Amino acid sequence: MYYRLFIIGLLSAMSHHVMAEGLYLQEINNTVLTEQQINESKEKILEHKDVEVREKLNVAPFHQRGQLNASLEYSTCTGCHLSPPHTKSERTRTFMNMHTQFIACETCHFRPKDKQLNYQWEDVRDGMPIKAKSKLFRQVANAEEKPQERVKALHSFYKVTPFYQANAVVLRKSDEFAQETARLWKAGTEDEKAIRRASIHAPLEEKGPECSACHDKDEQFLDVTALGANNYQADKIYNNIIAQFFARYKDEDSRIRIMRILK
Amino acid sequence: MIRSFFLLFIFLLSFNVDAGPRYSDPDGCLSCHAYEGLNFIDENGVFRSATIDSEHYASSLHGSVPCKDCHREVIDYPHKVENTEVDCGASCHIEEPSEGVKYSHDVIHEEMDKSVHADGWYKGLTGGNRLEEVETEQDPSCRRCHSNTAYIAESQLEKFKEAFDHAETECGNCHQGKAWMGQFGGHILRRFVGRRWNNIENNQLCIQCHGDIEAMRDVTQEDKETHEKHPPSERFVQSSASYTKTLHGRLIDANSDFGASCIDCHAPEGWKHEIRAYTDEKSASHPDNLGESCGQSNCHGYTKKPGNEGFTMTDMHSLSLLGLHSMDKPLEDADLWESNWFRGALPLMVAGIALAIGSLAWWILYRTDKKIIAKFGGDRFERVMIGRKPKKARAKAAAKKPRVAKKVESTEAADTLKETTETVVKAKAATAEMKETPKKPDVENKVENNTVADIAKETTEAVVKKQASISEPAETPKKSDDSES
Repeated sequence: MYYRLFIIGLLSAMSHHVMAEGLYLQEINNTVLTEQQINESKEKILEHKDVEVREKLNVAPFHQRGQLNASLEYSTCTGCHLSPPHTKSERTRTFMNMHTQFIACETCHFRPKDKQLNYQWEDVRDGMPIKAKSKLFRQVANAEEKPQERVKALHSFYKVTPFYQANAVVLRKSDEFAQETARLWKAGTEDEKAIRRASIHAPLEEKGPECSACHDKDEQFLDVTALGANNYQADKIYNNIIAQFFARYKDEDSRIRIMRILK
Repeated sequence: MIRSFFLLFIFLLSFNVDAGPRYSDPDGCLSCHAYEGLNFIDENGVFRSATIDSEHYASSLHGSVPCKDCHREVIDYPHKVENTEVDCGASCHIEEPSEGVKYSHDVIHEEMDKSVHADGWYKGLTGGNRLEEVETEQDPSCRRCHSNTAYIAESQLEKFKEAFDHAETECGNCHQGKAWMGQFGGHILRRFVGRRWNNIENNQLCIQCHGDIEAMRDVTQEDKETHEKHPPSERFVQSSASYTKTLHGRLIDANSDFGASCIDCHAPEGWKHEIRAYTDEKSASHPDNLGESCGQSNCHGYTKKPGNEGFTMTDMHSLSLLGLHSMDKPLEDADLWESNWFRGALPLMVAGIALAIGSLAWWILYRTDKKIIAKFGGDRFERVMIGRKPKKARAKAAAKKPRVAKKVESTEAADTLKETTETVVKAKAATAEMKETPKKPDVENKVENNTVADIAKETTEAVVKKQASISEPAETPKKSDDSES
């Protein structure tokens, strides 16, 4: 009896790892690239300028600031993109990067139209799903009773991750595909690089969903209650003033009076 | 009656004179900035963070200062960089309690202006221009040394709590009301608790820059009178390294309170920002002021008294402490001829060389293989240790005896010695014979052994006696001959 259970458990664990490449990798492998996609990819590679990330400066920030998010180092994306990755939009980059603490890259950028994904908490270190619970949210669950304790630190390695048929769709740095890509980037030809880059990005959306996708009760791209939020926490997420501000002012170039943000 | 009501009204009103909660965020900045992880990497590759740790800010030195008191021009989003600039010399909305004057760091800025660090930035400071400051400025800005640290340093927290527990009874007898305690009590107590930084922390601040030898080599100095620019001296470049070799530096390294920190000597008075060059007459480290500087705070008090100035001449940044000198041409090193150790040892070195040359010359010119005859002390040795008569007495006695008699005596003595020697040879032969013969019963052996031993003993004693009687008359004629000659 126990012997059978052991075999079943072992096979189950193996199947998890065998299937660990997930939907994203399947999509990469199944993508047939067009000439235009490859040419665009070549241009992007030529245009790209490496940013030399500085070490700590001798002049420290005056205020006590945040630290680098260690969980990003487990994502394949930061093998090429900076960590934190969002740099272009002066208006949204800090808020986008703030979300990388608890949302996997693929959650926002891998949104296949023909597949139904579901979203769960995952430990990015080992890919294990984490049971949904209210403790995983920044906003404390009982803040009404303890107004002094409104927020708490997030868990450093738990992220909301897309799953397809019980498998996480994310690509990890430890995956063979990611390591092969790293080798190719060092020794490969320009054409090989362009093809690899194009195939990695083909299944992805460059632009993530709008803030309202999660912060509006009517849209619910992510079902925060299914992720463990209680009613109080869900209400705080749906009524976030910053999300409401970005919903009102979408123009990248406009500057808005701060007093109007807080309305 | 009306008067009584009025007094009662004032009395009741006095209960409401209370410190309201302090809003450090009246403009709502923390609505966004309190979020963790508002990070990005800017176009220069610098990791930036827009997050303000709100808990830390509330307990920091600027915890009661609203953001807009410093970042005055921030009115829109995204913030224009120039609108976020901070001027540390500007007055803020905090009022000095006794006179109601708005507080400002401008006094500190005026002090800095007189110092060697006068060109450091004190305004126009933004989160984005730290890299520019690092790459272009050699003088420190305010933020290079000061960050918004906790109001009560962690190391002083327990001490502060203990003092604060007594504050309500000690200070509260006169200064009643939460307003006083809340706004000023903590501030005054904090000052009473003592310095925020200990000597190690003080030094770390200076060594952070001055300990970077390569960075110090890049410094350009300017002559105050001629305004001529020149590279720094090696003494300046190595100032941090040489200091750590001194007793002061080593005491501080050993966590002792007795070591003098950089600030203790270079800015000893209450104002810690007016660090002047040692060539400046107003500098605490100018040679004329060292008596005062070294004598401060009961350190070396005697240096203030006339005649003790020499003590202050101990060089705290001497390059000789570092052993940096090349030994290729040691005598050409300028520091060598300025060293008191070297000048003190010079006469001894000259004397040593003369002695060595003299010894060599003697060895070459006057060395002989003749027996060295003691000229001094030999007579005393013979009298005291051997028990002979003094040399003069022996010479006198020898002069009295006729020469022939001595010869006869000498012949007799020689004969006696010859006989004795023959007896000894016989005894030795007998002993050898005994050893060669086979073993006999123990009793006989014992008897025979005793006999041989007795003979040997008697013979040896006889020889000693004879030698003693011979030695004196044998030498006497020779010595008398010497004395005669």
